[in-house]
Amino acid sequence: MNFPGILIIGNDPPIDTFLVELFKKEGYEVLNVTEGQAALKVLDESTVTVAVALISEKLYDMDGIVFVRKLTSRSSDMRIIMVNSNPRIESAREALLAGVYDYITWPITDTAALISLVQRAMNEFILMQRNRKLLQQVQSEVTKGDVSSQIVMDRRTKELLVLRTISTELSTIMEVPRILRVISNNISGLFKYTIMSVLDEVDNKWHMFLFSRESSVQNFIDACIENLLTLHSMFVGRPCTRRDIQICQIDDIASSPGAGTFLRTDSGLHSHVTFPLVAGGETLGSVSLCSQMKKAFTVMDVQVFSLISYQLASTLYNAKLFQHAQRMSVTDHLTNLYNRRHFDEILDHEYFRAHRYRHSLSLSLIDIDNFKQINDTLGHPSGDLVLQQIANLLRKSTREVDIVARYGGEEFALLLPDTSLEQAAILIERLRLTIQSHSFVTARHKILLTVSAGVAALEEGDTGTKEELIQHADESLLIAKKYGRNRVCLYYPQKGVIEAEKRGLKEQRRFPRLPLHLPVRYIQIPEDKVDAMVSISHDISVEGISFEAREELPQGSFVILDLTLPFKDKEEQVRMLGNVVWSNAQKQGEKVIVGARILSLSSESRCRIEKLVEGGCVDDLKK
Amino acid sequence: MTKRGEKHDIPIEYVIEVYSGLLDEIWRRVAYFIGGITLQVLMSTAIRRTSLAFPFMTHVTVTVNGVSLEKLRDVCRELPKREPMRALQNLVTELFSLLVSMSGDIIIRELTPMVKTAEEKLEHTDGGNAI
Repeated sequence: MNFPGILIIGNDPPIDTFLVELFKKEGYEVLNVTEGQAALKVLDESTVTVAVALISEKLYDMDGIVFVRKLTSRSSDMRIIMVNSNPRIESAREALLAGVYDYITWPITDTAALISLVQRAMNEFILMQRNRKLLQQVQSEVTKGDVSSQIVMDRRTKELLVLRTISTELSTIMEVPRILRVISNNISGLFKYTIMSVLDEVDNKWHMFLFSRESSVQNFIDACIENLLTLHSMFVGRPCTRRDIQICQIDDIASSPGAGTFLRTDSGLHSHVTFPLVAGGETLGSVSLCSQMKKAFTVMDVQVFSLISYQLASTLYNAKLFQHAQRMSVTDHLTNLYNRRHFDEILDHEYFRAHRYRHSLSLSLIDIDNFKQINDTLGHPSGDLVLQQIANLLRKSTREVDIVARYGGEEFALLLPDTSLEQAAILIERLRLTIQSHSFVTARHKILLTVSAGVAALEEGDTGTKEELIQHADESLLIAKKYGRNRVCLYYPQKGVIEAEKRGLKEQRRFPRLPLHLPVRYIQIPEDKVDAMVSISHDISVEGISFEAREELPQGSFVILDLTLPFKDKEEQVRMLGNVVWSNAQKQGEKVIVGARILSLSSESRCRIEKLVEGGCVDDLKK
Repeated sequence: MTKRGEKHDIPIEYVIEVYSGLLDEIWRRVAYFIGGITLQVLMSTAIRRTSLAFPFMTHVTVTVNGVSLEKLRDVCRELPKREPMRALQNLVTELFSLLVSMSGDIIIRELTPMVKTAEEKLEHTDGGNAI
């Protein structure tokens, strides 16, 4: 814009001269003409932009009001001030209606007011001009911006579409690799990345999934892996190294139209955007877009990828919750073995399969001997620990294909596909021995336990029903219990239940002789005193102690054992009074299985139970 | 009045106020790009790392909506006067370092001038009054 000036158009030279001098003194550029036409010519040709025009009511060549109308039609921004030496209300009104900015009368009584008026008019003109220019610029930018706005709009639309597609597709998927595949497929057209890497925990193991859009040299892949591991370690505050993870590399070249398929020689990791995958208040993993290009990502990319990472985290979280719920529905929460309901379902399936393909199928029911007493004497938390340890032993001692379940309470079920009765018996007998020799740890004690088991099988070509299989296994278990526990009994369709040992299946000492030689005495109690003895025996009771008797002890007699256990520390010595209840004893050759009750114990006595369970021998009793 | 460059004690209240404002502004801008949840993880990481050198920084609380120095304000009264400022400088540095690790300089380009302004504010302060 040219420098703004003042145009004075008048037919009275003294007034014109005064005004010209006045405003020139004020530093304005001032033009002066006496005719309307000349004024129009000046406006067209002068380098001065006329901001304010001071016009006499009467010009030489035309009426002042007519001239005002001409000027306002040319420039609406110009401020026109009419100067009248013969003021009249009508002419003032007419001038204002024609569009003058102000109407002043001559002679000027207050020059400062006139200067102020012109100054204000000038400022307004400048402001108007600026606004007009700005508006033009904005309009021009908007017009120009149509193209860029369209690009931005297209990009935003694409982003929204991708987010919506991802959200829709992920809503029905619960498997982690498929979830990541959906993300990878959808974002490939949105970001300039080479590899998308995702670190996620699946079944307590860390997996890193790598989705490549382009063939990449190994050191670029390595750089991507290291980058994500470093950042993930930073996010979670603990180191995550390559040794901790399993890498699953998925080549996506074919599914990425437009992506290069050449092997870049420049293998550097030049840009990446990495986000922690946070959901449910925990960091589930991390996700990264890696590129061999410098400055491959923009702020907008970061923003959109953050939204995608939120979506991914949320989906992974839901998938884990779903998997957890699914696992919970088939798992016993205490032992982490399958629960009864799921076991029944598997049994259905396996039975059908064995029947159809004429395979053998064995079922064993295992029960912990005297488990109730562990709960009663050591407390339920100890009982729970025992159940968990037994469950672990069962899991470790069986094959991948075998199904181990908690059948109820302290009872477990083992389903052994493609396994004959004899094979199952060997496996279960081995299991029994493993449990027998295992020292079970509770909060304050170590205890020894035994189990009884019943085994039944559907042999090749058998026509028995599933219910019969269960029933036979259960019958065998009951007989194992009845025979004195800590044994495996098998169901033979023709012969009924037979103890595994009797079938010559690796004979084992049912109750191993203990390394301890306890200095014990025993006193036979008269029958009339038994009730009194039993009545004080309720504090703690342990059953299942066995003796190898050299002499036949009378059935139904009661014996008091007076034991002093040889602990390392003398202070740990405890006297225990045992009441061996013979009434339940089963005599089998030279072996007598007895139940025993400990009648009194010191305050620290609980830990001694295991020692007593380890047993004593009648040999020792005699001493 | 203290000469420019000369060491002077800036009131802890003032330091907390300046850094509280700075962290709020950083939060506002960064959360716009990466969201509050991710920023919470980053800020927690930055606090954890800063706490190794300045254990009292564990009193900085962070939620999905922002950072609060209110608990720190109480603790700082017991500390040597320059410690809180050094710790808070360290926190901002750690956060920036994390943002750089995460996405290069894309985000921190937006933040650097803001931090400079805050530092200048403290630099030109004598006893809490701007020089």
